Amino acid sequence: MTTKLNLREWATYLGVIRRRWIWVAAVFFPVSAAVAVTVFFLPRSFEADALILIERREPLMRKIPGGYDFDQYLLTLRQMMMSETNLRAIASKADMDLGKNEKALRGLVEKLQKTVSFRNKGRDLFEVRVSGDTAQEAYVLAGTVSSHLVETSLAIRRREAGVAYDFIQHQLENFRNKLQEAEERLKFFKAEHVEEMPGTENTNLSRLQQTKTDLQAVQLQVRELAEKRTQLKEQIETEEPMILATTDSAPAGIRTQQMEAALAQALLTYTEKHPDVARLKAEIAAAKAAMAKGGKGAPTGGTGTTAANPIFQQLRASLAAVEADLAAAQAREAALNARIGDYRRKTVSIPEAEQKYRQIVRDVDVTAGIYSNLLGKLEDARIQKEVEIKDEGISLKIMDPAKLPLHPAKPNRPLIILIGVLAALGLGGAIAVLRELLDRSFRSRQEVEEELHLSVIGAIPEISTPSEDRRSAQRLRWAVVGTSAYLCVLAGVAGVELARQSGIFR
Amino acid sequence: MSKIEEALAKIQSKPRPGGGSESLPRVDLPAAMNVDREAFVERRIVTAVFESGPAVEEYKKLRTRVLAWLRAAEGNVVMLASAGGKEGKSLTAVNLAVSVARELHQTALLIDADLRRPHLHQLLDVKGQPGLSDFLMGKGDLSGLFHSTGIPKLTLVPAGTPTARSPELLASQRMGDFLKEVRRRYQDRIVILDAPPVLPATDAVILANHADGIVFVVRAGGSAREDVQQAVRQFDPRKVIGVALNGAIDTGHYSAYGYHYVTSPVMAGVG
Repeated sequence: MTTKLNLREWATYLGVIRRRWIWVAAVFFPVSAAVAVTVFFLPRSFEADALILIERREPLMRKIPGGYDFDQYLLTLRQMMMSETNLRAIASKADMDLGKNEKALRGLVEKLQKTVSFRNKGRDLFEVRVSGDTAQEAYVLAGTVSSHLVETSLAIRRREAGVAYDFIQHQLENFRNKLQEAEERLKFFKAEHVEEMPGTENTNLSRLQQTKTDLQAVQLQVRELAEKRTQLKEQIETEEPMILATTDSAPAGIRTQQMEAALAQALLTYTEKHPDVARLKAEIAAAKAAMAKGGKGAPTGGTGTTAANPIFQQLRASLAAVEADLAAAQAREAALNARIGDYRRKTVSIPEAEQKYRQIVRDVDVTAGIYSNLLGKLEDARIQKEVEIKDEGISLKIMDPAKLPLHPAKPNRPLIILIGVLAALGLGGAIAVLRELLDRSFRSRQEVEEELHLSVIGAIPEISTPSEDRRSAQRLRWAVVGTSAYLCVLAGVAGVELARQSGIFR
Repeated sequence: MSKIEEALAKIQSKPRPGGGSESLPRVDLPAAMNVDREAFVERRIVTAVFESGPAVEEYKKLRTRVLAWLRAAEGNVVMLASAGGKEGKSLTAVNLAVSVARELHQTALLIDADLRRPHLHQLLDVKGQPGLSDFLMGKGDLSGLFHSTGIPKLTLVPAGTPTARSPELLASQRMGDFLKEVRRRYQDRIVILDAPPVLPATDAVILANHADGIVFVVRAGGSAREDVQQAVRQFDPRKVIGVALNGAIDTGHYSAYGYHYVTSPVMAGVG
């Protein structure tokens, strides 16, 4: 379906061109003739080229990992030769007119930059092509450029190899320092966050659990001591601090027993060296000594003297001991609470610390990678430098020197004429179609009926008379002959030019 | 008896070898025997030479539609008009007239009403004077107005001496009387008026008042659509029969007219 439509469209266009052939002809002949004439007035340009081989010393070149990139090398050579310094040198060597001032010289350099080109010919071969206004100019320039290239490439290669080595070494030093800094950062971080490092979560949790258990025990102890303290305080309130010590009322034997009971009570809480214990021991000893000496005359009381109540004293001592224990237990409880808080904080902060840790480790890895890479490159550059210094690397050799061009490279007259003919034909066709599109007249029965709302009661085709047919046939013959002759002339001109280019005609 | 009646009577009295309706004016047909059929072909009057062919068939269609219209309208005057010049109006008028004349019971009177640029007499190779303008200006009588065309049953009234006063002449009482007389006396004859272009002058609009039907001639690739539309709007739409499209590209017969067409018996042996 699409093909049919396309064919119909083509048929429509051909019909348009057939109806409006006069426009096609009116454009085609002048335009193509103008192109064919103009092409002979276009400025001519000659090209000369030299073929150059890049020689490599294989044994040493093999030491260079990755070998060498031919395209990259060619690009470097081109950039080198296109530098203003080199082009000035080439212009000078080629005895070119350097001009009277800097501006003229710069113009010459810019012209050379446009006229010299490098082309990869494969298998370590490349071509230096130079265009010029005359054959001689192109020939001399091509020879000069190729010889200058061979002469200067070695020195430049050496300089470039040295520059590369120094640059890499400088970079290596920088990255060495960076690596050291990164490693120091890692070390410090590890020391500072030893309990927050990745993998310490379980340890922290078990420690937290253990501390919680300890805390519960201490809290129990605190509660017991507090109760004990309360009891002691109540007992103390019931006891009198001082008692009346008489032989009558308190026989020495009973008093001694009371003191021994107090001593026993004190020893439950204090050591032997405690002052109360020591005092009680001394009093018991004194009482016993008095009983033994006086046997008979030993004080038995009843004299009416007052003395410290030992039970009271004993309770006071016990209270003091309990309060001391309570304070110690409370201090321990506080410490355990603080430790639990610390463990919790560390457990929560582990992911953040881990993230920072990974960043630092990544920095270290990246820096270490670059450093390692630079080490390799430095070695490559060192070998390259060594190769260039010993002149055992790459060297250039002119395989095919420039020759004097025998015919101009540009303009390609046959091609331009051919393009001109086709373009003129296309332009003529386009104008014919454009005229058709701009034509506001009726073309078909359908158009008339749709726009005038009238029936077409007769659609009479174009009538040509026999004499018109004869004239038309004659015109067609003349047109065919004339066009053929014209095209033959153009083809002949193009053919002669083609033959000249091919060297058939000189 | 008026001058017109006298002239028509004079024509009727002349012998007419081509035959035709007895009520038709007699024309000097022997002259037609000297006409070269090649000359008709050269003038594109194909209906006079060929029995069939793409163009001939289209003219026949045109004739059929026109005759049907006129029968329905109970009239016998048809005018051919076009927006501008070079639309092929005169050629269409001639071929339509020849085609009508070839009907068994019809005769045709072709009147060249383009008084500024007369053309039909050249096309039919007939003397151009005296003609309609001369008659309308009072120069000459009706008897000299009707000219034989060499085609049986077809008579031509040429335009006469070219004049710029055509609107006044065509709008004159004398023109009205002339057409009334033609219409009244020869009711079986189809009168075909070849009007001048519509847009440059008012002649065609004036003539349209005397016509029973109007055929609008349009050339493919000729006048701009807007001009044609404007020209069509000048007429009473009830009178417009339709469009004769000249040079149509969608008839499938766009190529040159050839001799392979069947030769018309009308012209067989002529030349």
